[in-house]
Amino acid sequence: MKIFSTLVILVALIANFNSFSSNARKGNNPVETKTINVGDAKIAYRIYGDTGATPLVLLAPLGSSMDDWDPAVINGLTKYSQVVVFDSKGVGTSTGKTPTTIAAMAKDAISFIKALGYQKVNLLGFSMGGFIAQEIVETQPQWVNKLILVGTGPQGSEGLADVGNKISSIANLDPQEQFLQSLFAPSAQSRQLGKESFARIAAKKEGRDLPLSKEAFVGELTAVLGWAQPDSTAFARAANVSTQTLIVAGKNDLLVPIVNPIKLYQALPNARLLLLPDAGHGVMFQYPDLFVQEAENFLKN
Amino acid sequence: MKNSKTINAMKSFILFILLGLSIVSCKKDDLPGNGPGKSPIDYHQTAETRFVSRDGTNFAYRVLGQKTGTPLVMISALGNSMDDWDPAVTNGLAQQYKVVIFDIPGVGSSSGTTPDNIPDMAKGVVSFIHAMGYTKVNLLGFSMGSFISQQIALTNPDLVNKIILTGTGPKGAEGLANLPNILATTVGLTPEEVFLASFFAQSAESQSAGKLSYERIQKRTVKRDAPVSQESAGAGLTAVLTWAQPDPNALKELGNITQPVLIAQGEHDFLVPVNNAINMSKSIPNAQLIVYPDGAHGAIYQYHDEFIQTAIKFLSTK
Repeated sequence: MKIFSTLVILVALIANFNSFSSNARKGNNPVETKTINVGDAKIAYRIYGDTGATPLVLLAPLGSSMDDWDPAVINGLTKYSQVVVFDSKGVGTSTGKTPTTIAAMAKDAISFIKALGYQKVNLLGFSMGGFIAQEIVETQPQWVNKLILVGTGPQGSEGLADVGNKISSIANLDPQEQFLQSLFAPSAQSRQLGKESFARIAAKKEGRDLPLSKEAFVGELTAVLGWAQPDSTAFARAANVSTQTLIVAGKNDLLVPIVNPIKLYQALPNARLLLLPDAGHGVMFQYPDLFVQEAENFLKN
Repeated sequence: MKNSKTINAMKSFILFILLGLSIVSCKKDDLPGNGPGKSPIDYHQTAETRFVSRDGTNFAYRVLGQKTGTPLVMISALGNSMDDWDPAVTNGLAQQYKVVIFDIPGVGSSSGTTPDNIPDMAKGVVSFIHAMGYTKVNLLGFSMGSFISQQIALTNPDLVNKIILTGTGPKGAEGLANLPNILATTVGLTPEEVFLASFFAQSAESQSAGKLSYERIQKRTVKRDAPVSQESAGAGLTAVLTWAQPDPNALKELGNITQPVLIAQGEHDFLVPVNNAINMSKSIPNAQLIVYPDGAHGAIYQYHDEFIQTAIKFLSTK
């Protein structure tokens, strides 16, 4: 019942939470949005760049579509790797029904990767995308070369069950302020860098992706809250992952506090850890150049 | 102090091991070399050793590179002199920053007596910085040098712009008191084997990176630094083991450091285990942490290219 009432509140504020992306969604996009049939759904995706043997597939956070990635990150990564962004089932421009579990989302992501004809990809999972990425390397590691996890934690992450309340508490703020409060640290410097990231994301005017529907948002939120439930096997599963992993977290992350990525790092046998100060959940949007440099070094090492 | 007896008992046993490590830096002194590296960026092999006096010590130092601006002062590990830095790291940093390497009192070519505690070592380093006429420096401290760097950040914060710590831990670092036992396991090994066993992880990749690092360290064949004396290494060991004594306030105290700090640590650092670096990164408000998965105490030697990029980005960010 508690989760249900949280959902009701959230549904009421979804339009508000997403309005900054939907309103600003038009832009001169040099990269075309394509679609591919995956099972019974039509999945929308974009491929940036044409370099690098192994494509880097980005897995989006809760409530985000293809246009919610900071272009500074995408453009930076594209310089040395092909970057694939997509909307999972029911999200943005993709059709179908958004699953309500991380496990189902992971299966969908693998089906999408297969459909594109890739044998092996690098994965970058941000927040919920990081949950999906963990599920993939725990269940079907053969698809993954290297893994980058940002603003994320293991199943049962401490503080994650509170995400609904945290989103509700900023529901009445304007879109930029919501963006700043959920993804950046309270300092003047972090907020300034957040404003710059917001402006970059909003700069695209034409051909923008569709905003998330309420159904998609609720599906994703349900999946996240499911992942937030304590799971006694989480660390044992992580300990069996041999995939090379880079974990990046902002020390002021409110949504997935850094105790979680630290524990995940400790559990994973082959992980490197990068913690950045004065940064929140949106650490890679705050420090795009630094993030891209570290990601590149990790992927090419 | 309760543990001083143990420390003393361990000390003599360990001394020759440390000296074995310092042999790394003088072993090939007399061999004919191939001359300085052909790359124009190789400052490490040719930088002249100079001297500057202050507070009773004649400090030996070298300035690497032609950059101006805030100098990056590198503070060495236990038993190490100027020649024990991996040139891949010093040269890499010297492309962008004025890099200063030196010997603390009593070490290598510097005169004086090596203090047997970190606070006095820190005073020695501050004397050197003053002697150079610097009013603000960046610090890079490796292992014992990182302990000294923390101390300077707390006692002379106005002198410090940014700090890089590697192979580091706070006062009372977990596992650090075990240092003598770990070093004892290297008895009978060659200097290269001691270097590989103490600074690198056990994987084939790490060991082979360690061999390359060892080779680079031998490259300077002219005007090398003097080896570290037994007396100096003994004092350094006492300083480190004293630093290793539990201090419940250590992490809290580090919270007073306001400068940007970059902590780079190897996941398999068995001299100063990685949890120490993680704890420090949580306690120091403006600390960034990078942990290299297959690295040990010498992780920045193993991941030198990546580390240099990370360090330069860190130093150049406003």
